[in-house]
Amino acid sequence: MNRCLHCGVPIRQVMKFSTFFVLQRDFLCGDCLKHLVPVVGGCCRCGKKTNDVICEDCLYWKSRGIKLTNYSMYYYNHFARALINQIKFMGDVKLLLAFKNKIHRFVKQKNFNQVSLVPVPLHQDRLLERGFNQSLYLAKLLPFQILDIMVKLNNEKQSKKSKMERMKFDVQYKLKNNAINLSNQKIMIVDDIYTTGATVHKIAKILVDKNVKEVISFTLFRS
Amino acid sequence: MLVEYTKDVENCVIAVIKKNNRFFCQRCGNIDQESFFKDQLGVYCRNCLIFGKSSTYRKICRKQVIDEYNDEYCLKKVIYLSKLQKIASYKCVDAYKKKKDLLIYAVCGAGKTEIVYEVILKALNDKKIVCFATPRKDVVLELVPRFKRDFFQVKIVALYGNSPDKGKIGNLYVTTTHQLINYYHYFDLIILDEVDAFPYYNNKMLEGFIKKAKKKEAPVILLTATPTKKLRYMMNKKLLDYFIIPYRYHRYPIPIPRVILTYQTMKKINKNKCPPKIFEWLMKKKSSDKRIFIFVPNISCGMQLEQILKPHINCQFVHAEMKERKRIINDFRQNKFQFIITTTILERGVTVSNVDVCIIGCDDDIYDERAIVQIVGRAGRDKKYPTSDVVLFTDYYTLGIKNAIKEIKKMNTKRLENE
Ligand SMILES: [Zn+2]
Ligand SMILES: [Zn+2]
Ligand SMILES: [Zn+2]
Repeated sequence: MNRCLHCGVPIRQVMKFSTFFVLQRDFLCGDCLKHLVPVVGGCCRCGKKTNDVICEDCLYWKSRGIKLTNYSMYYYNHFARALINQIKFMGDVKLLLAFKNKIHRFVKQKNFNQVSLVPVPLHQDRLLERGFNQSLYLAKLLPFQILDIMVKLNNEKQSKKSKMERMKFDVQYKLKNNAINLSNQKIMIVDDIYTTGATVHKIAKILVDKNVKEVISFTLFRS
Repeated sequence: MLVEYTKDVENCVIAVIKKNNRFFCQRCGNIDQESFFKDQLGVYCRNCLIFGKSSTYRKICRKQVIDEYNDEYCLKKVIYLSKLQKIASYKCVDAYKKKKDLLIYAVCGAGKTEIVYEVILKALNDKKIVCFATPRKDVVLELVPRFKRDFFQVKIVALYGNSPDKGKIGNLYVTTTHQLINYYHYFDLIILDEVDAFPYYNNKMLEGFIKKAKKKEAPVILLTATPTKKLRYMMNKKLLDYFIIPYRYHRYPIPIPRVILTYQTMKKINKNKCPPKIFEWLMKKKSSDKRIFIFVPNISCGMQLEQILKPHINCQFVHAEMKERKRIINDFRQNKFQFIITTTILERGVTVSNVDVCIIGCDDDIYDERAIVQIVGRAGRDKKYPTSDVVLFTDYYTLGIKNAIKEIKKMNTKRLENE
């Protein structure tokens, strides 16, 4: 029987016309699905809920000379937090399957041209703890090639830091091979949530220094 | 033997292994291949994820414990049993001696707990370890003081989510079924209360836990008021020994629920209106000395209803995730307010006397036959107040409602045959 990956209730599969052609399985039940709120409007650069055209955080990043647009799918609400909890702290990577079809639809709708994906790397210690890198798994759900070129140097948690600390460009990430040629590439950084944008911008800076043509980011949730 | 998580000590086994090309979770006993999933480092079990990740790259440690016993246990006071209770009690002891599983199918309010006293005592005096497992934490909390009073010499360990007794050693364990996961071939007798307590309850998971927690030969005594399809099948095919107690200890029949049809109940409640028939019924009850259980299908409906009814009646809403839950239930028991609105969570193990019961939105999926029978079972349990009014407010007749009423009537006629 097909059960909701989050709450475990059985899902009654409704035969839709489309299900005859594509095997489209629902992974979340209706009750859970209705808590997912798609990002609409907000800051033109990052999607943050604001009445301004561009938000304060983005103005800061812009002043630091980084051009980047972030695409988030859903707002980080109570329910999103529960999902992230299940994925990251309980280690249930299967839950990401629930987003597979939705990500495909999102990609089609936004019409991203051929990009290369750079998932935000996870520190080795954390990987052993969790069993997987959720950003890499998210990237696997996107229909583009993955460049596994970054490593994370220290094992600090972003969430333990103050906003000021987060937004400094410290050396947390590094290219695996500094001689790599990325010029003229269009890169999409992939992460699970976008909070202040610090993680994404730190990686973007490294890539920009490598003369990439354009950097955008894809995140599942926008807080 | 006890199982717990550690890094690398002796007696460690890999948590998820491959056996005959199929994955097997050594911690929860899961073999359903659907509930295994691959991540970057290996394969993990989703069945027991709430206990921490069990996977091919993790280990579990099994640790030997030493038990202590008294010489001889006895009960604090003599427990009086009805004729059928006595027979059932004897059957339990017999099953224990023969190491055979047994199902006691007794209506709500038949006094199931007393039935197993004798077999618990017998096993304890044989220097065995006994486990009384129930799906609900409430029931554990209610039973432990009672067991501590009656089995006054016995070391009793209460286990649930964040119980202070965790890791303690005793002779009688009163535990939520979830906590069984921490035990490996440990118990000589398991008494499993209310096997079918959750809607959508993952019975496969429970079976795995029990199989793992009990010693290989150890018998299981199942107590239920509402057997699952599988149990009914096993009874019919005589695959399982069983005994039926069709009446309550006070010998009054179980109240037969009345069905009152309402119109668009949920929609009205969402719009902050109470359907007139329900309101009428509640107002009538307000002037009586009865206490009222109001069951609602979900939390949001309960909260809405509390808002609507607060100006008219003395009511409180309580649900599983509330912090003040214990206090509210206690207040209700002590008659501090008359109406309690609740989701299905109180449906088992909680006894309050002189109650009337209603279910609002009985057409909801969660009210299957077994849930309704359980809820009706809340009513008329006290000898002093054996009759009560049970009403199902529903937009239409569901199969669950029909079958529940049929089942209650059937048990009531069986009761007459037995007189
Ligand atoms: Zn769900
Ligand atoms: Zn912005
Ligand atoms: Zn498992």
